Amino acid sequence: MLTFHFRSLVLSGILTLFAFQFSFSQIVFREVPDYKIRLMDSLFFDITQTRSVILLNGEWTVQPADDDKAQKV
Amino acid sequence: MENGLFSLQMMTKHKKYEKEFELSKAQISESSLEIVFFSINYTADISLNNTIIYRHSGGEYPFRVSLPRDILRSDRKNVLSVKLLYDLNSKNSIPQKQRFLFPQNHGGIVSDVFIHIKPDFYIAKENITPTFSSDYKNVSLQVESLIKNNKTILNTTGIGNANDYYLSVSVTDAAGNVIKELPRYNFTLDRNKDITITQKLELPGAVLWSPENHSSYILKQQLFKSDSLIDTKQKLISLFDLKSDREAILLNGKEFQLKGTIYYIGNETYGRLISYNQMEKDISLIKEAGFNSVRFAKSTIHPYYLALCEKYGLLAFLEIPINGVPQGIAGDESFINRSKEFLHNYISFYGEYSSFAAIGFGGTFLPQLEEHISLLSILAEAAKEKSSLLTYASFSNTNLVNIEKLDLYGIEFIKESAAISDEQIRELQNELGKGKVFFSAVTYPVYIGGSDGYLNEYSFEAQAKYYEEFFDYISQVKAPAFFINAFNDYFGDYSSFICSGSDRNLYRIGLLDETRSKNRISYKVVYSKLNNLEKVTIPIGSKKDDSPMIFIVFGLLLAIFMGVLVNSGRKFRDDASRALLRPYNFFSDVRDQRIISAAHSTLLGLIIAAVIALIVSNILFHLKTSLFFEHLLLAFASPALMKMANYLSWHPLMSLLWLTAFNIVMFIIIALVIKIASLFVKTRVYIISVYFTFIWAMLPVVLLIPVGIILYRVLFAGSINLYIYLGLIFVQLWVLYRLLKGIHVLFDSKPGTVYLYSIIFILALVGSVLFYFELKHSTIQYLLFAFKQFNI
Repeated sequence: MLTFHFRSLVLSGILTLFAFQFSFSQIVFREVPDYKIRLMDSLFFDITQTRSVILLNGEWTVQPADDDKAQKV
Repeated sequence: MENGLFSLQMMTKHKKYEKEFELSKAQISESSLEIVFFSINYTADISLNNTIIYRHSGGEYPFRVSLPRDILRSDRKNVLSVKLLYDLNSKNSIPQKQRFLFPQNHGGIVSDVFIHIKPDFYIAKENITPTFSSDYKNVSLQVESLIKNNKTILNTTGIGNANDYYLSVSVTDAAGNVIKELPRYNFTLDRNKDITITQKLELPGAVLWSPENHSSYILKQQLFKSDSLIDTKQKLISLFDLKSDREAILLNGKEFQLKGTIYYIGNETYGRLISYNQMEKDISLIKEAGFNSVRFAKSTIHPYYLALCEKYGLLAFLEIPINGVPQGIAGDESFINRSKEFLHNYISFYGEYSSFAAIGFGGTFLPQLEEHISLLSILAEAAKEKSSLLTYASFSNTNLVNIEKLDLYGIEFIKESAAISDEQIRELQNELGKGKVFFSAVTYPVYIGGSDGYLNEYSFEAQAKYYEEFFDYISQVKAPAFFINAFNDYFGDYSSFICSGSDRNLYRIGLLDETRSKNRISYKVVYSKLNNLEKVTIPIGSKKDDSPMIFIVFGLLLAIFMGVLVNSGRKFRDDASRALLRPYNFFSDVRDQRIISAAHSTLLGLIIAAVIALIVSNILFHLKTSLFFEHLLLAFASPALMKMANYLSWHPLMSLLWLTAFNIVMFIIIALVIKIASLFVKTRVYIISVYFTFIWAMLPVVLLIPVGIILYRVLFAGSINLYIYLGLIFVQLWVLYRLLKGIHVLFDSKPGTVYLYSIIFILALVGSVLFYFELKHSTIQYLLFAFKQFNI
């Protein structure tokens, strides 16, 4: 019985630590409703017949800086 | 994709963001590529195909990075990596960790990212300097065009005569009609070289931009080679002359009053991320309200706001997001350098927009601090070196001094009416000039929401009355500029007392609510004042008593329980009188295990815990609208602490319950600490004796029951607050003295030894907590700054 308690204590401790670690590496991805980049405003984006832009918004992969496991968004 | 999917990094952690993109061979070899980040927060290493190309030293401002041609590849995908660290601190980051009423600040990639593709022989930038004739009817534009030749060897060979490039510059109106065109400018330019071509362009009868007439021109620059177009660059330009004279602010040579508001972007879910539509809606609402200028304080902005300001006719005041910096930090070399770097980057990017009228260096500066004055002098000088923008800073009091190269001196008012400081303001106007002193942030927080009239402080009606009186005062004092703080309610990272105990960090200081509804009476009053409409009637109402009944009920219940306990038997009365009047004898009895009722002691302990909770709840309820108290708490840079204090202050019943429970736990902990301390003395000390000693040492606290019933009302009256706080400190010291006496009797030690070690222990405990916070959050510096800010 005592062993059982001790084991669950250790397990909950590990889980707590894991949850703590997880919470400290939190990243939230938010999609702004009605978001549309105003590329038609060519003066603002400096778009002319000789100039253009390639958008890099969205779909970035994110991972901890020293980790290979990536999260695609 | 055009969606608005952005990453918001909530916690301090290194993260690596990666994005793949493809480029054709021609795009790489025949173009100059630049990546534009509108906002990443905070520091970042930017790599292209595993080679670091830029190190962003920190801050949300927009910036550009050239993509080196030799690293780019066309045979497979390119990988752009951003290794990002979001870590605001109290000393070196901008903004800092302690942020009073700042809008939300999230880490991550928080705005648009794109690659700008330009030809390899291109117009890199232009510098436009307008000169106005004395009657402001004619404008002479000096246009400096920087042209770069980034052609590869391959693209250069076989090009023929290198001398047949020419630049064509013209000015058109918004519809595209050519107003003026300069003759072509022929030039030569070798590979990997650049050239600056300076030309003058006369615009007789130019239409000047102003908030009333916000028409702009388009400067069109075109590069040709043998009559074939190789690059076109267009730029919106608004021609206006904003100057700060000693007596007034002048726009296009005429006296002009800046009627502004402060705009914050702080959405509950998205922080500073808002759609282009929402940006336009907000700016159009500001214009519609009757303002002619907008101050973007405490945050960097999406550059599109500046384009919108130009379009709608608003002068934009932009500033470094610093506020209330303690002197030790303001005088620190690394902070000064970071501020300068921030300023440099600000002007470099935002300086391209005509509506950018003035650059600010932050707020809540104290003129009496040499470090603040020195920081402002350095920043003002740096700003003037880089641009011709007006410079301003915002101060929290009125004893201002002249600062070299600072054009405008802002004064902040929060809650207090500006009219109260009329004498000092007029003195300042005499000293610095009427055109130099303005109201940089006039704030009236709404703690209680709607009421039946303005007699109720911190209601919407009181806010409306405050602004009505402010407008009356402004017309008397003739200030050159003012900014109502704020245009809309917004969300922040810290729970302010302005949130009225809500778990949403909504700062209710706006004329509009967070949904931009125009129903508030304060908005209607300001609207009518700005547009010279009929007076809006603000109901007077009747002043409501906000004293919570629960304090009286709770206090009376405690008094009844105490009465029951006193009358429960003679034993308690004897113990109580002995404990109170002859504590030495009483504690000797405890030490000698004479019979003390555990039930009586426990009940007494519960009552004491509740009385302390009652006193603390009263004080918290009184301090719920105290800015000084809020600043003290904020010095610890703990959102959890702010949230807890805010909740307890605004919920007296819950505060009583939670604090009573907290006190009971604290009693147990303190009793255990005393028991542990007893291990260092020879005398055997029983835990039960420690328990009795501790409880009965606190007996004088029960005398505060009647105080707890009326404390809030007395504090609210405000006439004897200092004496009340001194009285409470006296009771605390009395209890502490009794406890130490009890301990030395219990331990059978010399009183001096117990006092010495106890004081060392208490000092070490408090000192180590403060040391920890000072090390981590510079808390002591912020605490001292709060005392200076509020002249305490």
